[in-house]
Amino acid sequence: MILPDSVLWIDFSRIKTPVVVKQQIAPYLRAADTVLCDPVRFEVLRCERRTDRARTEAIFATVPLLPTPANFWQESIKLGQLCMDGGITVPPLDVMIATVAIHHKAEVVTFDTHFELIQKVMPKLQVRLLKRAV
Amino acid sequence: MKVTVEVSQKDLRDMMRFSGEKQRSAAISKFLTSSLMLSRRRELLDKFVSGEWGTAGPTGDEMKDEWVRP
Repeated sequence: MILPDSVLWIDFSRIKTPVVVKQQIAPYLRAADTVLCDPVRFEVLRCERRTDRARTEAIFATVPLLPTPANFWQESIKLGQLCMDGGITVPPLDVMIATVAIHHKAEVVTFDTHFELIQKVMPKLQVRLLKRAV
Repeated sequence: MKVTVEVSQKDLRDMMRFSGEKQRSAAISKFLTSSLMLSRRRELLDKFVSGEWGTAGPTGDEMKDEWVRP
């Protein structure tokens, strides 16, 4: 399963994102095994402007949503503390996305290097780190 | 809505196997829904690549500062 990180959805939808970057992202959003999780849904939609919300919601409605694990908060706390103990400071939402990805054995696809840092303390996290095309 | 469709034995068996559904109609319905969702998604995504659709706001790179703020 492919779990595109929030940054992929955000960059893909933005008017000002270069077409070459959109084309780079597109295969990961078009794949049959692409999935979505609640932390990504939250991160993308919470900053979407009023006029853009319906379109993003329309796309999200076509992507299978991974169930949030029952022990999600406790596992997120543990993973966050593991990062802290390893001397790594990462945004809380990245920890939450990683928690869901680990639980469902999904691969996070992202431009965000924070996931690579999380992987260092939690090798079970599968990450595909992309570099923006130029 | 109920419709009658022709499906080969092999396809039906595989749809039940892959979907994990025990009922034939549930298996067909599940397959149809997931296939439809995928086609809809690809159609909508194409609108963003072509520029027909697009959202305003900062790109991921521009939002990076917000994300790393402790």
